[in-house]
Amino acid sequence: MSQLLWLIPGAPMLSALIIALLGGLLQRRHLAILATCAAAIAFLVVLLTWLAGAATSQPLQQTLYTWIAVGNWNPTIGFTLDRLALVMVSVVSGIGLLIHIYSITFMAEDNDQRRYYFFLNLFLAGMLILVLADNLLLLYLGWELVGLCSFALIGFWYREPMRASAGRKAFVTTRIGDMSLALGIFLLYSQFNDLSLSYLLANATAQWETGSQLATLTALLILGGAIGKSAQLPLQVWLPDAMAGPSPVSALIHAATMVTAGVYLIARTYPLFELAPHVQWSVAAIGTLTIVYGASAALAQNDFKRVLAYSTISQVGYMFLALGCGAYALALFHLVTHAFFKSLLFLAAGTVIHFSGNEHNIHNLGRLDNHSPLVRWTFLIGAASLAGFPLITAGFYSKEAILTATWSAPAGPLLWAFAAFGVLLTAVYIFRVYFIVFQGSRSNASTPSAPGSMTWPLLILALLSLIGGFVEFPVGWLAPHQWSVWLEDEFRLTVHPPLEIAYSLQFITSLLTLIGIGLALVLVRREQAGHYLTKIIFLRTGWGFDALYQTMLIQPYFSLARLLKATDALLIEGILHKMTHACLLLASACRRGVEHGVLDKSIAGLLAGFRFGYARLSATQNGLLSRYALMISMGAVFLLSYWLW
Amino acid sequence: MYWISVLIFLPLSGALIIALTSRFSVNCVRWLALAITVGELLIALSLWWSASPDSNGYLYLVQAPWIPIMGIQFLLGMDGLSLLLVLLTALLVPIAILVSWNSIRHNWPAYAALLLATQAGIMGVFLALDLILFYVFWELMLVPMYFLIALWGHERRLYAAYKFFLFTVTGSLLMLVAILGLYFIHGEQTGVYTFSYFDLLHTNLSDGIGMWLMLGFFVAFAVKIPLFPIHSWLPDAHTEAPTAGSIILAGLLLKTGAYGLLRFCLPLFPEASVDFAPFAMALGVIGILYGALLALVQEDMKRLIAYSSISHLGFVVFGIYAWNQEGLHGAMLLMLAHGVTTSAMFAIVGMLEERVGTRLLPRMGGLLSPMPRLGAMLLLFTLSAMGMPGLANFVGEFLVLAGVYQVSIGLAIAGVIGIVASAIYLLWMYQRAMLGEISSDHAWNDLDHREMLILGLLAITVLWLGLYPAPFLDYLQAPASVIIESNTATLAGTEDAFRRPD
Amino acid sequence: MIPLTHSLIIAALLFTLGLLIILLRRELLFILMGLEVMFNGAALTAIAAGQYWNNADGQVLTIFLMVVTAAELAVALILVWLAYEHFKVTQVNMLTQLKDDTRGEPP
Repeated sequence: MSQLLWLIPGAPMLSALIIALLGGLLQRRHLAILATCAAAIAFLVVLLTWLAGAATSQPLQQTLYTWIAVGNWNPTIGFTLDRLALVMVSVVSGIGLLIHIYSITFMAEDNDQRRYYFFLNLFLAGMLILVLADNLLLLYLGWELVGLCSFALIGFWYREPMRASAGRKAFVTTRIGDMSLALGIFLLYSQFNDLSLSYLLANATAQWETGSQLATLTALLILGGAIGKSAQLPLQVWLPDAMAGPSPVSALIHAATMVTAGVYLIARTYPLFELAPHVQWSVAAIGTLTIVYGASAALAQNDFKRVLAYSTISQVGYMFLALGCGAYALALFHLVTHAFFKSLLFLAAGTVIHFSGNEHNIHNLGRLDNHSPLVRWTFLIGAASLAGFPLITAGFYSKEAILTATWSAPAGPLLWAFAAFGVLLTAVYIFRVYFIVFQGSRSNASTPSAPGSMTWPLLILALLSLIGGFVEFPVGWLAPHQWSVWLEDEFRLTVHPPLEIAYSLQFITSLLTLIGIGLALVLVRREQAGHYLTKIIFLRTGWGFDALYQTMLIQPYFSLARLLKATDALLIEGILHKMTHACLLLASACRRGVEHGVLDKSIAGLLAGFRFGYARLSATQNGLLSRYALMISMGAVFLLSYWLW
Repeated sequence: MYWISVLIFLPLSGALIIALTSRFSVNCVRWLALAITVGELLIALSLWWSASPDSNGYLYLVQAPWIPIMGIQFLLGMDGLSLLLVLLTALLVPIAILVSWNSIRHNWPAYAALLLATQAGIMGVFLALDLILFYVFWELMLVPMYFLIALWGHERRLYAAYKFFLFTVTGSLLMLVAILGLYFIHGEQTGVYTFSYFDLLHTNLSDGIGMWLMLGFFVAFAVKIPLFPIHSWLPDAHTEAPTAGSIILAGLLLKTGAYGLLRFCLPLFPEASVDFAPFAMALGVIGILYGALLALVQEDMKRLIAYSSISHLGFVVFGIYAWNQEGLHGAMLLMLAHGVTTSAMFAIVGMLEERVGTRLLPRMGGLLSPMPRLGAMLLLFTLSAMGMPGLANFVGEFLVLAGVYQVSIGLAIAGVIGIVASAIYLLWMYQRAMLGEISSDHAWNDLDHREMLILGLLAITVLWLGLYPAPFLDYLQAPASVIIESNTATLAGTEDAFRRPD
Repeated sequence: MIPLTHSLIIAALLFTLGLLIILLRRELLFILMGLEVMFNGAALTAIAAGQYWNNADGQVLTIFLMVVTAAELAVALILVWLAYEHFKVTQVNMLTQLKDDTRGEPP
């Protein structure tokens, strides 16, 4: 079975290669089918590994070849499939396949499908490499590759400068995080002279003491990388703008997979974080802050997709919170359910926007009134799951588990309070959107019917958003806890608060969700009366981070560059050229001083003497060759005789 | 064995034949020059093929007396580092000829002859192991380059050519003085007056003199690299040179500086270089950040790439003076990667200029829609230049920074900032040139077969270097360990780190 | 075996003769011939000295000198011809392009 591992990232990679090289020979439709088949192959191989018992066996491994060979360091292109990777691979390839299918219709009208499918397949390959990599260097390759594809797909409609800039912003912002990760890799390399993940983690745990400086620094640097990719505070600014890309891309990259790469990275290197408790706590703190940040900013958005973007930031915050509390399995659980309901929401939103002539404003969409019931219902399911509607949705189970686990962490009740406030806000903002867009909607004859390739992914994801949570019931319930039991080998077990506290926590959060939905109804009434939430500029601009960075970082950077350009010109023109010029000036000034100055008269005589000598000497330069020759020979004779004497 | 002298004399005789017989038609000259350079490439490839990677030290050595009275030999040697740089040279010159195919409109015979003469000079620089021979080739590559810029360049070509010439000649004269100083000191000590590299390696130098001689070499190489305060010839020369000239300047001439550091500066003066390393690394880091910042605000695309070269070569200097396994491997690999990537970018700018008629970014925009293939190629090489894993520059930059990290964390952080900065200016360049709304409805042709061939070759090299650099790194093992040994020998106080390979 | 002094005297004579030709004749071609004669004088010295010291260097130098002289003569003849083409003169006295203009101010 492990011989087939390469095929998981290999199939989309090969397909991307074919599209890049031979795509010009294929028809548009065939391109889409080729790309989808590649995604399907990857998904099938993942299914095969499940069937072959990867879920219970030892990790599968495959090494392709030695990538770099320097001294005794030989990082390879090699893959490892353990349970953590298995979860991620299943989500990535599964959602990836659905998004490919959805794209067939969504992008059917576009002229640039070759570029689209190239980058989509390349993204899938990159993400799968990231997840399967058995060493940090290969992981970094996948990490950058997904960043590139995200850049290219955000700016897919590059003719609008705003979209192209959004892509660039995403790339540069995440790159700042990536560099922190790179520094972390350098640190690990200089300490252990190897980057293989299993070796690193084993040796780090063995050699470093808990709370030691090196461990703290490493964990911090890795955290920096995770923050950039997962759009957490303070590097979250790129994600809302990333919505400039096509909706399927937002669903795949900016909701389900790439933004959760940071979560995966921390889960993968969790022993390092356990060695640095302060950093681990700050993971939780960042997560909590981001939950409130994302949820509050999502409240005041008018753009359909921006709401979902801020919602993603906030939801990934929950995963960070879980990671920070040591509940890795639960973070992974929320990652999976979030992938289901958030990509469902994006696809539904994409369908609405697609059939309403590319209208993004939710108020305008609400006035259109002709959304198909299928989309309405699937969106409702997604929204309920996101809000954590009790008992029947997957989101409820995953979020509940995280909140309960938070309580026992250091400063747990505080974190819990923020996170619970986030739950309330989540219910408010998502149902605000739902009510505004779909409330007045009546199905009538003019409803455009979406074709099968668009509806099937919606239906499958809706189903998963409902039943996906039944693998892990909340603490204290007489129901299975398969998820955490299954992942027990990978991570340590989560610590839970006493049962009575757990029950009351569960009750409070469920209540908060319901209150939130009610509040949303009230708010929508007020908005329809003209009290728009978007008037709160602080929230609408995402707490003003963009403006802050603009004045604090970007403008100074550009000014510095311009200043240097000016000084560079000064260096050349100013120093070299001015030096020559100054010499000339000095010379002419001296000459003037000599000729017209006080010394004029005393020097005049000398000058006359020179003039006289010059005139006499000049006479000898008569141009007659024989006279010159005579002088030369006379000189020679004179010198010779002097020397011989 | 004698094939490596053929590497030098084939292009030289080709240049003479083309220059002296003015009867060939333009087409004939083009094909002849191409045939010669492709022959050169084949020879280089077969040398690569027949060299065994695990042999110690030098793969090939040629020795013949030249002016025995003064101890000057015709001494050529090829180790792994020379081999890879020779391969790079042999690859880039035919590409330079292909790039100029239609864009050079007058006096092809002279142009081709000068190009071939430059190639001979560069080959000689990478192979010569006699210091006078090295100096001769060092000047030989300079003169035809001057004429290439001055005769076929753009608007301010004469200014740029003079500047280039003056900077380089000043540096190389200092080097000549240092060579002679070393020669006499070695002669007085041992009684053997020789310019042979292997003999001079054993010279005992007092601290002060060693530092001065090292600085003489260092300035000559630093001008070529170029390092921060003496870089100002480079943007002008790159911008004003014809496309092929830019390719040769950026791809090869800059590498001769770094090669000189690796081959001569460090092994000949290990003590002085160890003392000097912090300053050199400081210059390197200034170059990285300074180049990256200035590249951001350039409007001329060629100038932008020229400043990015300053930034990238800063990494090479970084890796060289980090003086450890990773740093040296990284620096050497980055030299190759930068040669290929930057040449490709200059070639693309040349192609753009032929079509759009300008190199100024504000007058471009939206060019991806009429020219998707060109845009895709530019994206590939842009990504490579900003260190995307899987493409050429990444491996080099990663190794360099991993090496530097072991020496100084602060410098490594500065280098990492340089990589972020490279993403900023390169993406900004790509966006201004390729993305956005197209400004004119003029119908531009996409790349034709010749141009696809050029860029395809370079793209394959870039991917190869990025995805499977192990074959190249194998060859660098021996040269790198020799240089590292020289350092450990310095630290241990022993002198016998170098043994004559036979 | 010819004594060294004899050869040296001949060489000195040749050299002086050449010098006199250069100084006294006005025809460009004759001046070139005078140069050749002077070269021969020098070459003769080299050969004689080489014989005297039993060293081959003198002969090597002479052969080298012959080659260089031939090359130099070829260039010089072309220059003479070009001078004739340009200025229509063969007299060296007419070629005074380098004459300083005494009426002018000092530079």
